[in-house]
Amino acid sequence: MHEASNSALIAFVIYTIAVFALAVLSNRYARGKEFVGEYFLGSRGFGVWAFALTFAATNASGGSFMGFPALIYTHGWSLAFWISGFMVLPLLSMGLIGKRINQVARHCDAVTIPEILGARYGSKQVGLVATALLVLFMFFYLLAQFKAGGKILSVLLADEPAFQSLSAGVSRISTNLPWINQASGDYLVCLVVFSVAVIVYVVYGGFRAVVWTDVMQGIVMFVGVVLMLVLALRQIGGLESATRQMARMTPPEHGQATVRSDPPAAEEIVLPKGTWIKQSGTAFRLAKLTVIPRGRASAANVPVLIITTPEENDKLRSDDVIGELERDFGIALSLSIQERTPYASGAGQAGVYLTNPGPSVTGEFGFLAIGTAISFFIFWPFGATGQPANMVRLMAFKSSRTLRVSIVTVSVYYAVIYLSLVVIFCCGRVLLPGMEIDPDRTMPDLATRLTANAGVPWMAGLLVAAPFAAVMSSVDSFLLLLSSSVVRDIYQQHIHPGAPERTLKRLSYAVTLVVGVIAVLMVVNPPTYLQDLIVFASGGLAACFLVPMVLTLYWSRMTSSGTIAGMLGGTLMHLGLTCWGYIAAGQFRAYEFLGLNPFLWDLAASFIAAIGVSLLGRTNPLRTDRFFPNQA
Amino acid sequence: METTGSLLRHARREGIGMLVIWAVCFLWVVGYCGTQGYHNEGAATAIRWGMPAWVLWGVFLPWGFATVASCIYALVLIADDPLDDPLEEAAATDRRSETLRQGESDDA
Repeated sequence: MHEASNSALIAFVIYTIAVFALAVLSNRYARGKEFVGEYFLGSRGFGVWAFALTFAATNASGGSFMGFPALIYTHGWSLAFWISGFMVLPLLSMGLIGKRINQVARHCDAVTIPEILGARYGSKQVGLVATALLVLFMFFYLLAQFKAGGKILSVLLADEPAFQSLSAGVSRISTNLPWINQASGDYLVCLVVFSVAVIVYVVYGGFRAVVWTDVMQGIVMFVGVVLMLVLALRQIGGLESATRQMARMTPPEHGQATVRSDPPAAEEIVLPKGTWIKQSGTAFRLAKLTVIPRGRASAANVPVLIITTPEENDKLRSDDVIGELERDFGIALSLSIQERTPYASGAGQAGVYLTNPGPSVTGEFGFLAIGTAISFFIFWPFGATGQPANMVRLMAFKSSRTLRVSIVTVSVYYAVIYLSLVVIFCCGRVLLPGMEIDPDRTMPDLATRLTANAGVPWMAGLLVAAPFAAVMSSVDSFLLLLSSSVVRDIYQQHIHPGAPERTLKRLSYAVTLVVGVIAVLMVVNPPTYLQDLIVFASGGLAACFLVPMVLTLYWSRMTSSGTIAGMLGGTLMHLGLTCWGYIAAGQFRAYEFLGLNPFLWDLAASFIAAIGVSLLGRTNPLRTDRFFPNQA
Repeated sequence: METTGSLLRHARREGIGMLVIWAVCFLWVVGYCGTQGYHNEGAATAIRWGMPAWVLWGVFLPWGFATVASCIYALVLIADDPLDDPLEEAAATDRRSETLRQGESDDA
């Protein structure tokens, strides 16, 4: 891992320098232009590559390069079905409202979503409700993305000696600092480094810097994935070889073991997490750092992974550390299993990685029930259409031609990226056994293995830069979206409409900085359910804004009350199902009524509320005439 | 004025076409994978082009179709409407009514 960590460190340093350079360039470029429009929307002048890649990169968050590979590794080919909704995501999320929202935004001179909604109806209430909901959900989302950034960096740098000593130093210093001392040193270092980098370039460069860095990040992601695909297929001997080996695999088992030393250890024995121990023809992998203290004969309750596939057991050997102990100190290590926990679904079944629903550690009915698959096919494209970060990008392209060519670009981009990821990590399932102990490391570890085997270890840096790129490109967008809501929708619209540009400029910098710092301080000690908050916030945003925005743009009978009802209807259904889920299962996760994704119920509630309330009210002919000529 | 109306008309029509493409892909993917992808035949699962057959016919092929359809749709069927239509007449109307804007909403 050392070379990979080193490469990751170098990649991150180069990356940070590059994004700072882009921020400086964009700041210079922006001089002399109207501040708010430039800072929050890049003066609506983005061409094909800038627009297409910022759109693609913003949607592909860290989950695409850390969580998704981990899922493919754990559940196999089922993930092809799970992600399949992405095939129509570019067309729908860009095409469905793209031209119309861009036109209306230009006409209203709007740079935010609440501003468009408010201007369409001439209603301050609509804008305020939209701002409140946007800030609420976006802040949760931002917290989660900052945490993801810190975690990804700490995973990638985990074995780098310089990083380890820095982390240890920070741990010592932070021990007596209240609140801060609840975070581990490594996470704290990564969180601060990552956050400072993102906040500085967003504050300094604004939307244009965000878009330019997204372009760079989008290119890095694409190149990284294509290189990994080529290396993985070459080293596995072709996709068919990988699939045939997967067909013979059975899911491993998790267990608790006692590790014994014979004779008792004269010195403390330290076995790193991930150490392989082969015994009686079965390979075991330690799932955490294991220490047998001096003078003791064993360490109990050690979590282990037990490989059950005969072919893998034949290939795997004990790690060098085990042989060295025996050779140099005459110590024989053995392992006795205290408890075994097979997968709840798929245990002992060969071929389970090739078919649906895929194996699952906890799910009795497997990973991907048909209802879940249907829900995801709807959620991916329509959920993306309802994301405010995407809507804001749709307000920034230059011409209809830009939109058309961008749909083509992103469609091809996503087809290559996501289908390649499925293939790469199915190969990874065969090339890299035992990653179930820490699935989130699958991406960096596979990158290391592939490049080391190919004799180009330095290339691992390029491959592991993809997750940095993905998370950074999401964080920067959300940070700017949140600050634009505060500056434009609250301060400029409601507190000081005639504020001079200089004031707005200072306020924009200050708000972006303050929001970023608050978010970082909050994720120093992240709430227990933070990962669930990601799902809560992303689903909530789409449920809240999709239907009201589509109807606002396309339905002349839509009213301001209907828009508020649509936003609140989707939000309340989302909150209701989340509470139901909490009561029913004790988890901060929305209840899946009839086995369907809560997003579908949220959309239904939003739709019914928006249509129903609009039909009960009446429209303003002046507004209707302005936005729907010849239809008033 | 006319250009705004035509953009709206085009956007609505194009949106319907996009939903049709989504529906075709939905039926294809969910129909095929739902019926062919849920039978665990162990090591005997049919493999085509290096992947399980249900993945090829139920995901990769429709993904290819969706990509080609999206490209053709975007390049051929989405109209090149001008976005910077100043809506002078409507904007003038709006300016005249701007004084009414304070506190006025659709449902007032």
